[in-house]
Amino acid sequence: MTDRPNPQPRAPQPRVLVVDDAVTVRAYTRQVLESDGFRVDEAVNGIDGLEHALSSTPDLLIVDINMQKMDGYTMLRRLRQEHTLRDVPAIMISTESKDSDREKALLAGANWYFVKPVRPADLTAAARLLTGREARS
Amino acid sequence: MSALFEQFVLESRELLEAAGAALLRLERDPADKAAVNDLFRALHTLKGATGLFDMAPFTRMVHAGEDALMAVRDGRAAMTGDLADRLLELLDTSAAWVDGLELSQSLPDDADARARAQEVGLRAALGGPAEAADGGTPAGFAWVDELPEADRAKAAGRTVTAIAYDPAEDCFFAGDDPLDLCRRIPDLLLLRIESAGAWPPLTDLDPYRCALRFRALSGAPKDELTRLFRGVPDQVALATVAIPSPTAETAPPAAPASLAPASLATALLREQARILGLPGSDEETASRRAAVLRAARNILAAEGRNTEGAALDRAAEGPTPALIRCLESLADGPAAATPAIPAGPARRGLRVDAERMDRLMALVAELVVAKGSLPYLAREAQEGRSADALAQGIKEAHGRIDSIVGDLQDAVLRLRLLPLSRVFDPLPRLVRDTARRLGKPVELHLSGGETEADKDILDILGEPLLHLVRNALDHGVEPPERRRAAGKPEVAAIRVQAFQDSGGVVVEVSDDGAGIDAEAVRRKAVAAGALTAEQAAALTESEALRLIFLPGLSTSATVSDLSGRGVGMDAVRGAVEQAGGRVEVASTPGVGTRFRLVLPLTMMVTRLVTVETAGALYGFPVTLVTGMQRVPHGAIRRMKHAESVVVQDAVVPLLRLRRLLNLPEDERERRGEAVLLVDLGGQPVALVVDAFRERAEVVLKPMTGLLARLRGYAGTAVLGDGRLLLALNLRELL
Amino acid sequence: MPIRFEDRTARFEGACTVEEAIPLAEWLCAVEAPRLDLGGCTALHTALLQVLLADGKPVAVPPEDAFLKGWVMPVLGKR
Repeated sequence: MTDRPNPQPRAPQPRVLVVDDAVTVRAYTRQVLESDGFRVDEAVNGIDGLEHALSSTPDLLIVDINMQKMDGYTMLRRLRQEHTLRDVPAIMISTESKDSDREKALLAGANWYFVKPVRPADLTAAARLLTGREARS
Repeated sequence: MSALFEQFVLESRELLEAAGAALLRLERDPADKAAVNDLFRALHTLKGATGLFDMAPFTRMVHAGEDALMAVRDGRAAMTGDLADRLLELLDTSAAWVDGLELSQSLPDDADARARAQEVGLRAALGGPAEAADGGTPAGFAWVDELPEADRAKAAGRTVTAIAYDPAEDCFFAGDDPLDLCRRIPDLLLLRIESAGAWPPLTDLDPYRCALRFRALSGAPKDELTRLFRGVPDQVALATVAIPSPTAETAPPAAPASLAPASLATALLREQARILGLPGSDEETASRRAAVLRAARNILAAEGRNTEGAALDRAAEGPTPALIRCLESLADGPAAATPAIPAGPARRGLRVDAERMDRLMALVAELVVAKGSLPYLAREAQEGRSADALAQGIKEAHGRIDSIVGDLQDAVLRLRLLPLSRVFDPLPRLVRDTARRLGKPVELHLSGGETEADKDILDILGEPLLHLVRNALDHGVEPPERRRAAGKPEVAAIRVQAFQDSGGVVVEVSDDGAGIDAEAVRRKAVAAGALTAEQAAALTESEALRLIFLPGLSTSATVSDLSGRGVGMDAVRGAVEQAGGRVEVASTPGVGTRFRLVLPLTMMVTRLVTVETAGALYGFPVTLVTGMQRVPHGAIRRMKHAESVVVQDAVVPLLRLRRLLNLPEDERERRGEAVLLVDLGGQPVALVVDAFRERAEVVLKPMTGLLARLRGYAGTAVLGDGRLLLALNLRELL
Repeated sequence: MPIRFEDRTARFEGACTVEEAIPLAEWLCAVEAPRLDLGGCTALHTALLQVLLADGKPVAVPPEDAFLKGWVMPVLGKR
């Protein structure tokens, strides 16, 4: 699931890195985003996510919080210390809907927080906005 | 089934398995921290996965389990045996639901109630108050739960902020305009304006005293609303609540009402402004600022507002407060969002064969024609035709309508018929996985999947079938070494075949394994105290085999993890009998075992009034029973052998059920008689029974064999608790 | 003047403020079969809403403002 050559050099598809330890959630997110024209890369935990992000520099990060090995907060905090990754827009997604969880996500470096499950239309809309793709194309 | 849904079923099973293993570890050692964590993580991931499919009860139930484990993990609760039982129950229910989801893509009808029961049970096991709201609605926000469906529609399935705004009476003097404040609630999903009391006549009204209160739901996060209402913190209460979807039906993750992109852009920009105000080290704030700027530029570009990007760039060169103001004004830029139209609630569907629908239509057309003869008869009656001729006409019309109604009933029942392949589908996977785990090579032969049965029958058949196949693998089929030694092919064969028999469906599960040792079953039954050694010895081989259907008896000495956990052959028998069917077993040592489930084609549910007489239960159709009374002895009149009683000014013959059934007289001391009033086609009868019992809905099974020739019995039924009931046909008894 | 009282019709225009509550109540008490035209109303102070609710007369011309039309008119219609 690493880089593939981009078949459409004239309309570059934004690349999204999805970091989540639940395979169904990754599959779901991939399906939603790919059907809206994004390229999707997957990572299974925070460490894996950091490695993927460092090697491929995605246009957007979608990060789960509760993961084995390294959680989403830690991963984002580490990532924000990397010069090449400090400004990559990031969305955190979690099942927790408390204000304090949202606050923690933003403090860790997220630009936006979604409570699971995210409606496909909301996810693609946010991804389009945060990657600068026009809303309709 | 979509690939995603398949993925979900697979992952859920794995997670449940992992959770089960962790729970077993935890039961052995309640202090095992790693086990708590594994269990928690499995449930957490499962919750996330269920959330993708709009199966709210499932998500809620798993969430409750997750909460309980969190309490254990944080040391707020202890891992007790009771809690372990509850969690195990939760896993079992989840597994059953996943099985059901794979078959029908929907949760059972009682899913909501069961989820609630599990939540309550878990809370009780944690020692918390059992009646508290389901972790959802905070105190003071009960009104959210009481909102009519239509008002909740826009917020359905979302986590929203509920607002209860009770303006102070004198708030106008403070310059407040509550209605205007409500107008400024972002992503307003519901606003209810209520008066604090009845309105006085206009002449008595003090318009400067606020008598209104407001209830609202907003899609915006709570802290955004806290800011909006910051001027009136003492008059407003906010809470984050999850509004359940209107139905518990599973729907594919289609796009329900979403935030309009414009309002999402607004919210995103506002959030970026807020992020800039968050505390942190210089390095942290610098990287946040970089991420915020890039995000904001992208949002403007996506919105086609590139010209406004220049303003942003200018502000970016200045201090943070200026940048925050710039982002806030950019957020207000685009036009307000229009509320999205909510999607209608999902409908429950049953796929219907076009041909069957056509037959139904044809029958309805016939019924319309038959109905046409009735006005004609009415006219005849008015014109004074002879009673005989009229009776003849009415009989003919009745005969025609009766036959059509019978056909209609049959046609409607056929609408509900589904192929058995629905319950066969999970078998190949089950066999493959189980065989691999047990190290027993097995080939599964399925046939007759196209045979049809009523949807309810299929629902009942699923579990026993899985159990029988698991059992065949676990206890029937020998390990390959033993098969080799016995001269049998190493690959065992399990056959599942279905076919239709006279009026019923037969499903057979057979294996070419070791067979059941009738002698061993006898020994076990004696050891379990089910019967004496003499009784056991007197049983024929096939009678001895039937002992495996007794509760607590299993065909194998060891209870494996596959077939264990107390769901035994008695559960199989119970389920099948409750559906009005029966189980048969035949086995030859060394050659194999065959189980045969015989089920009715449809479940005709009959409602009965049950009574007890001479220690046995009897039932009468509810439609025949007009009353139940206690009659003092003195009120019963005797004329020679005939007895009678006065009921509502009419003399009604009194009969005794014991005498009708040739049972010994009732010798008990008693002040009066329990009398059932029955209407036999216009002829009222009072029937003395020993005692009244509850009403019951049962599937009547006709009497078979020798019993079929007995007059007076309509059939037998098994009650929910396993007791046998005889349904009586009174007309035949009299 | 955001509320114009013309003969039998009260015409609400623009943002109607708290100061109009007493005049509105008096007018409603004085005029027989008053006619309420909220067509041009863009904001309605809570005090005015109370007066309209207590009076309970039907609104002849509903407001075009989306918020008022969507959330306030249903309550006015109920009385």
